[in-house]
Amino acid sequence: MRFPGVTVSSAFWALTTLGYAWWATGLETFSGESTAAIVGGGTAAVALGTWQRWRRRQGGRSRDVQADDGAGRARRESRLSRKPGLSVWLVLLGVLAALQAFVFTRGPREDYPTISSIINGLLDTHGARSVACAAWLAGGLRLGRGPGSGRDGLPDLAADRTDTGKELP
Amino acid sequence: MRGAVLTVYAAIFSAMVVLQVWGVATRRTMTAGELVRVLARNGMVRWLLVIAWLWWGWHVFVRVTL
Repeated sequence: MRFPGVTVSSAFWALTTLGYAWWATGLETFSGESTAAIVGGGTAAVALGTWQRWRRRQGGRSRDVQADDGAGRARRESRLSRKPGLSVWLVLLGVLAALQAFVFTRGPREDYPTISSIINGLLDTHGARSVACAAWLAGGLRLGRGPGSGRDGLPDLAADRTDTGKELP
Repeated sequence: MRGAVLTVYAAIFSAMVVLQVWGVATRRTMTAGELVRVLARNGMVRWLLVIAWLWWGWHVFVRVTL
């Protein structure tokens, strides 16, 4: 049986990440092993993504192609800044932060739930926690890879420059 | 009070989901990923995001008991 868009390699890495997440989330809470497994795994995911980004840049592209990429990216970044919706996102995040601060300083969590206590309730099984941890690790990989890794690619952590070597405005 | 707090949370996250779906579908408004991309042009913000992301993983998967 075949699934479109799923390679043997990607399936292998997805299962490996899930296995690691299963192991890491099964360790004793607050222990050194648990902290090392989660923070170390997350750091490794970001580092791997950054390395993949760097290796892609080092791929044998001509200078013309690199210059086109740099100019194109600058144009895309400029268009992105002018897109509406930034203020709406910031207002929503501000309201969320205010609500979180309000409930955090109030009484028992049963009456004043925080985002953490809600998530803790949702991830109350080892399986759910493992899937969430695997998704978190995948997010770290994406964070390290930077723009171009997807439609909503996150920033390049490897460098502040475009492929042409010029600083973005 | 719990019901009121959960209702406000639900309203905020629903608005975020609508904004995200609208942005992905129409490409006219900013998505969450594009928001992060815009904010993270500043190198310090970029590294703060990585630190916040690591802290969030620790907070959810290490600090909280099953």
